[in-house]
Amino acid sequence: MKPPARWVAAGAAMAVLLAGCSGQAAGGDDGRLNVVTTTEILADLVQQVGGDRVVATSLVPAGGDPHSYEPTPADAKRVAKADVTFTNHLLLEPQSLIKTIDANADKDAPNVSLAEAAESYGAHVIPLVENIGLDVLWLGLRVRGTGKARGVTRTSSVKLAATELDGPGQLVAYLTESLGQPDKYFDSTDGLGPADSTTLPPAAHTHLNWAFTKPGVYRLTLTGSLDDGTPLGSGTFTFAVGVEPHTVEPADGGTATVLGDGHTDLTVDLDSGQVYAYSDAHKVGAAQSQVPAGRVVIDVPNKALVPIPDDSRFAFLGKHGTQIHQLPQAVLGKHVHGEIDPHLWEDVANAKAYVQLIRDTLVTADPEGKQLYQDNTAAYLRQLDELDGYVRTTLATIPAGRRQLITTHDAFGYLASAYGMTVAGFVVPNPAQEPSVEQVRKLSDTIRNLEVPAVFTEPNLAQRASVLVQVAHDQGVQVCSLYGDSFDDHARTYVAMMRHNADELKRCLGEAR
Amino acid sequence: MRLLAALFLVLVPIAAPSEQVVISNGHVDLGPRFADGRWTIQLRDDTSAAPTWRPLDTVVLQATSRARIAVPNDPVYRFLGEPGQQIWVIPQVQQDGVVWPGWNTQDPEVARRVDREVTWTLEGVDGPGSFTLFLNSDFGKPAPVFDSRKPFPQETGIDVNTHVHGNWTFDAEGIYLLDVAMTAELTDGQHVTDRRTLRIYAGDGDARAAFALQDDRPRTEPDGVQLWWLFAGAGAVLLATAAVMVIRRRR
Repeated sequence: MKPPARWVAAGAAMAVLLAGCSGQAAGGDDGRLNVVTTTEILADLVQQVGGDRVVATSLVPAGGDPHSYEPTPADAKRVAKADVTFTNHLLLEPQSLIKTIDANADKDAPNVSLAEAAESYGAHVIPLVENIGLDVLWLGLRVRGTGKARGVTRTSSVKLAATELDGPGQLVAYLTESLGQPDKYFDSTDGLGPADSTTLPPAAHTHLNWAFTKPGVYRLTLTGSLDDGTPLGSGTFTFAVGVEPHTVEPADGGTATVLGDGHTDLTVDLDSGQVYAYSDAHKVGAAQSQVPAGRVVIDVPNKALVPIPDDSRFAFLGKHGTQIHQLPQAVLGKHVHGEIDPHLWEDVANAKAYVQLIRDTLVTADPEGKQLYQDNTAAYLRQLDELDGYVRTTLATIPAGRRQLITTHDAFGYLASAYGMTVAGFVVPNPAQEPSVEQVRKLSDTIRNLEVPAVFTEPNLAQRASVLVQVAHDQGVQVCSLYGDSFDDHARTYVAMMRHNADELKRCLGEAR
Repeated sequence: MRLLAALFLVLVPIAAPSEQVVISNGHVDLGPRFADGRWTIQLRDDTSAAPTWRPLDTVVLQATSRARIAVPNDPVYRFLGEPGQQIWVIPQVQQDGVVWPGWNTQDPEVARRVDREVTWTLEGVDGPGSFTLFLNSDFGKPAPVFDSRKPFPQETGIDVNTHVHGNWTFDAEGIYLLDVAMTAELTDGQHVTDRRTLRIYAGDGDARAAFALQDDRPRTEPDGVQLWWLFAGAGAVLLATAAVMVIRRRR
């Protein structure tokens, strides 16, 4: 499945060594190096590095959508004549386009797939999310500590009870067992009582489905006790269900810690008697941390909307087909094995990695231009640093509660990750797909629940934006634009496109005017 | 023999990492780590007071009769067998008295050095029946990971710094040798791989018999590993002998 990116990069390095002997100069019709890329964005980056020695053109025409572009016989000819070709990565370009390049490119001409090869230049790569409904917090229950001071042994057990729930709807926390049988732990639909509890041995944890029947803010009080009835302690956790979590006050009114990704367990501590969230910050190598219950806001985003299945075993959740918000008991399978989100350039730091890889590839193909390529790259990298700072400071002015992105396709994961935004939803993951009725309904619910000020369409996908525009109009929400995979007449360079994105996000999501 | 197995369970908390153990209760994880600098699949054993990473050839996981369950009359579970058929299912969620094996990429050095994900490959299964590993989520729709009736190799990905559990099923009693490999790219561009045998015993019989079995299907080892295996094997035999002697003395 993986393209031979590393291979190509290694080949490029070898070619550097060999190029000195070949004596082959740049090979465009006018003596300039002829570089063919798949997209206009890549062509722009190449042109910035190559300057006057290079002519860079893209196969996908101006304003075209790379995801659905079908290569022509003329494209094959252009590829065959190219001195260098650059692609981004499979999943941006369709397989037919990649094949056209791999089959027609001159065997001696460097053919570089930028996204993966750029990792060795410091690019930050995000795995491709397959199931957005699984791209949420993984929430369980846990008992920590030894309880030695309380006479607890390995054979003791600890009771965790849901003692109070306040919210617009009901909460059912349940476990679906190996063979599909649900086991309810807490169920508020018939009120909370002694049955709404579970026992765990010391140092154990378990994962549950957390289903909420209506959007809004919920407060759940959990109480721990030993099996002999000795009380341990209790704490009240806050859930932001479908609503912007940063606007929600935690139970004790202090500064909230919003938990929205990674793995968190609602925990009873046998030693301290405290009830808290035990959470990994989802940073590699970072220790798990304790957050007191009263400071916790758990994000149950609209990505977690699911219809209740037509299965009598799950009828306790409500009528089948009804949408509920549910954090699932297992979030594995959210990523596609071996595949990455291809839209790396939406993080300027990644564009810098591309540019350095492009520089080294051009030097390989045209060693005589080395000095020029290095100088151009140095100057352009300074420009990109400035751009990165501009995007960062501009987006930093958007209030935390308004940083939600709703777009036509899933192209802004890198923008969100690099600049502190949240991908709240999109019409379809890939613009080559048609949205289903359920996807449209989910999008509609997302916009309504979050009360977002604006949604974003991409200029090159105007004809594909009708669903989003319709939903936005129905709800009186502003429609703005963001550049994803292509330029248009207003933005002809990468720098212009990213500046537009920053300005537009601020204009449409910033403080209400 | 029962007694011996029981004795071993009691011994687990004080067992040294290279002692042979049968684990039939509590939490363990399969995963890669850098053992003496070498990328190695091992088993993290949390059943003892302090977590211990054990070499795979020193461990048998045992699914006892506590893990016996009938295949439900539900079309989505037909891949497990006929409705009503008794099989062994080690569940995704901890069940008291049943070993709880997961897989993780959370060893600190692994979490720091691996780029994005580890590829976990099942190269083959040697056993008396079928083995499957599947995950299930909210509404009980099973998602298969491995199935010994399908062509090998089979592969899945494990995101770096994650910890996962699934349902392990076996439809006949006896010893299963799972030929597994874990492969990754490191952030420095290095490619690492390791391939080992995971031993699982379904049933209440003598799980220790699995130690004597070697997976004899042809395999390709990375250069240099063969010799190392020999030494490790010899060491394991010595230690196993020592362990048995210790137990004899205690009896």
